[in-house]
Amino acid sequence: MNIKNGTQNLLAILIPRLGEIFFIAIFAAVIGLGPRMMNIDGDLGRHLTLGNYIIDNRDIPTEDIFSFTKSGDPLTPHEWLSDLFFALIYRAAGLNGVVWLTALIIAGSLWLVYKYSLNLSNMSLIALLGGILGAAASSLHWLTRPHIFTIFLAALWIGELEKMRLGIRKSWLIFPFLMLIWVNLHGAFIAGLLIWACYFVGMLLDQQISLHKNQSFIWVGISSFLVSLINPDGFGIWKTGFGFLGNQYLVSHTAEYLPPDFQQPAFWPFLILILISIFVLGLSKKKIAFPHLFIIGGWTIMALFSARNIPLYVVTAIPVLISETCGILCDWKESILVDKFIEFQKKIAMTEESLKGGFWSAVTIILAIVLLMNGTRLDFQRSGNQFSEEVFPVQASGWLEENPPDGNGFNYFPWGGYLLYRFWPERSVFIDGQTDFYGEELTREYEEVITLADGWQEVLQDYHIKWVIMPAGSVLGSALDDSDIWEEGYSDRTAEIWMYSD
Amino acid sequence: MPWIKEEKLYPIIVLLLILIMAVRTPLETDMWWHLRAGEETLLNKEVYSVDTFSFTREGADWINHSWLSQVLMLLIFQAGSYHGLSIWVGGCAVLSMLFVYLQMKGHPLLRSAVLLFAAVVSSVVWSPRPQIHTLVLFSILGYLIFKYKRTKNYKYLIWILPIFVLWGNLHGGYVLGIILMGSVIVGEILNKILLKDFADNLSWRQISIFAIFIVSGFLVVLINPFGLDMWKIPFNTVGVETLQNVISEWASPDFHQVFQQPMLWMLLGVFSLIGLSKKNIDGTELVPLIAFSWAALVARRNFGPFAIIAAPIFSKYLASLIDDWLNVATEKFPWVNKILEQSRQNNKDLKPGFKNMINLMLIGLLLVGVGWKIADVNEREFIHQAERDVFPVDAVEWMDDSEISGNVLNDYNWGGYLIWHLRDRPVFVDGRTDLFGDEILNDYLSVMSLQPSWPEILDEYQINSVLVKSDSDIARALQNTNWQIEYQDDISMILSK
Repeated sequence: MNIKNGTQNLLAILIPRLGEIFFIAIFAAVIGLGPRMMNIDGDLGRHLTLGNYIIDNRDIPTEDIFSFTKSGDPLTPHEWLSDLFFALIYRAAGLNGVVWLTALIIAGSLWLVYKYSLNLSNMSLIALLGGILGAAASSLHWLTRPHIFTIFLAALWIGELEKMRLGIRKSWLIFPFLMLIWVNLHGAFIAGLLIWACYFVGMLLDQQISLHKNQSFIWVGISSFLVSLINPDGFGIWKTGFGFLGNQYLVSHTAEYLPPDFQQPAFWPFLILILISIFVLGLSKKKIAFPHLFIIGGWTIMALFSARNIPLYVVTAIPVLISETCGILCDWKESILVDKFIEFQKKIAMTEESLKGGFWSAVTIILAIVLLMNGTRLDFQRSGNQFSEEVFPVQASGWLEENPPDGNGFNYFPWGGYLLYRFWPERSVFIDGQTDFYGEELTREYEEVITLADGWQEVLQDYHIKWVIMPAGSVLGSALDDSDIWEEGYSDRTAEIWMYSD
Repeated sequence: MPWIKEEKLYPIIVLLLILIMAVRTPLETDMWWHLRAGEETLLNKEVYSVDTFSFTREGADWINHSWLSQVLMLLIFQAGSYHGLSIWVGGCAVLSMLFVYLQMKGHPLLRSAVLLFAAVVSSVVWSPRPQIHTLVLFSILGYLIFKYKRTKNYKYLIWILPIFVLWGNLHGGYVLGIILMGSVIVGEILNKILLKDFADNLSWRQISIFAIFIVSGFLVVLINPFGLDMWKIPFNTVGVETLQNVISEWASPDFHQVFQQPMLWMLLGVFSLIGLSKKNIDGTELVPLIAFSWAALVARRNFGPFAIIAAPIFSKYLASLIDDWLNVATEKFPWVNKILEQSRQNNKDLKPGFKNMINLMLIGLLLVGVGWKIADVNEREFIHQAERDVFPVDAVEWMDDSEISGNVLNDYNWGGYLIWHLRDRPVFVDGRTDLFGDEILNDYLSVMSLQPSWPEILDEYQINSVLVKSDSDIARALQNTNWQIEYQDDISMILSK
């Protein structure tokens, strides 16, 4: 009897649940995409540099220390805690560690999507399908950036709000706690308050709560807002966020804020999700709850405005969508196929209940970091987690180290973070990826120079630029080649460097 | 008795408002080459189908799928100049919206308001081009399907055949009609299998007959000067991969642009209304809605067909929702009932003569508005200024008198204008993307975006001069080389080697 129990217990631990298989698959996929995630975006270098500064100096800078163009200007460090986490893992395990942490967070977020979908629908296969579609839609934004923390927290946040709506969670205290972490991790903490507003207004309209009773829901909002002020810049963090979004020029010049381009296959999973939403809402015989309508409708709109919101759409809207889908399936029970499917789902649910899960996830997570730290290349290309010589001026930076130029350098905007990673504090940059800080005026000046607009030479003079680093074959490069006062110092397939010669 | 009943008054007002909205200065980048192609067809008494307008594709065969529209446009232009073209665009817009209105449900005021909304969404594609005929025919087709579904009378299906014959000669957009009919069939099958609670579902026999008409529609498209080639058109056009980089209307919508946002709000509106409905939606509404939402999100030129499909669904579910809310409100709050009663009474108390006077004054005022808009947007000075804002008017005059020789690379958006105004000088590229294909368009884009190969491309095509926007990257780059500025104004620049 004991042996039988022991075997059963062992099997319950060793046989993974569907959700666990999903988690491991996503984790492995993100690890496999490591070099792509690091190289598709230029800001990782800046995040690591800032995180390292915080660790070394035990100080969170509230003024610019990275550029010579804005040096000393007030700065809102709205991602300082993320940068700290990235730097800590970087010190422990290098760039492999950064990729590992990113994989953990992304896989955790999508597992939460699966989990909440399952809770709302009781149909693991449909929840799994939702999770897979969500993974496909959000994969464009699997990047080694602080926004991954927002994706995770948004998933956690909406799950807890849904529990409150269903009466499973009574206490509201977890929300200010989550918000305290969120506001220091990433500037998109505002999403949490938006999600809360969707639930609050929706539940009022559904007459599920009233302003006089159920005050715990009001406290979620009030306490979370107040807690959002506990950050190095206080209320300034709100002003920074809205200030950037209110600037049409900066928003339209930041690639991630651009709307999704459905001509690109990478955006098709999101398009499919929108069409499924219409299909599901159209076929549903029940009125959708207002909070769910606001979540699906609101985040669809947000994601159609800016592709960077697609991951947030995935973690917030998919559980709701899956819940509605299963509602329709239950309406079609008369169909033999649907009935059999529901029966099959029940059997899976019963089997899963007897399983413990978690073992293989833990093994995978630990094994991955051990292998990565031992130098095993786990990415699909087998190139290793490093900055690509095709994307960043890796060789050119080596040349700069050997031939350090005097004076200020004008740099290609997406390379600002990498140059900080290589040269700060010895060298500052002209500009880097923190567009919200550099503002419209400097970004316009930068654009003037790279497009050779009238006055581009004056901009270089005004900032006392003595060297320029740009991608190979740039327009600015052609003009500098033709100029008598600039000499090409270095050139490779990725980057070219020019020196000022008076 | 009032002369014009309420149910007719509201749509008349809205359709007149739509006419005011749709009558615009007819200046569109592609309009000019359509007019020139129409002129060539009339002059030679043969459909223009071998390229003579460009030096990059000179002598190449071209499936001119819009030949009939081009002839029509030219005749209108010759008869009524800009006035004629703007009235023609306005008329087509109104006609397309009229057939949408006829498919709507609910109070006339509500239907009219939704129609206006649909018109705003659709207005993005109202321009003096053959595409406007697709909008009209698509709307008529939607109405015929709607009537067939309601009445089960085959006479409505018969009309589908002449529509497709006409469509196959007016514009390559006939494929949208096939998609619409196909999605209705899929929706009807969905109804049969899963959604059995609709009284007006078609029988399998009626579905089969409808399917026969889809096939017939597809076949009669072949009655055109290019025969089977007409079937290739949708693939040829969509197959041009660089299309969305050259033509903004082929690109996915950019909702940062305010003028594109109404589509987003209509999508959100339909989305919300069907979600809040306590009934499931008819498959013949749902599947076309999904199909044309997809089309509109992939390319904004499909905003028009999307609006035509979405508006009747929008009005139907909004009307139903308002009814539900009013029922609840009148039960819960007696004052709502009082207001409604009072409003009905006030309406009854108005004397018919007074109503007639007010209604006629309103319609008269709107007709004056239409007349004023037509005159205003086509006023000679206004057109000249508008033309100068968009096209290189002075540069073209200068070129006409100049001795510039050899091949000229032109801005894509000015190709059509040059074809009409500089008749002896072939262009590098114009709006006929299906003619130029990826090869020429990619070369053009490489030059304009200063890809490393741009100097070689200019050499390859033996380009001696360029006519481009004065603030373009290529204009700046050429100034830093051995090219000389021959001419420059606020919008254009001519540079020569």
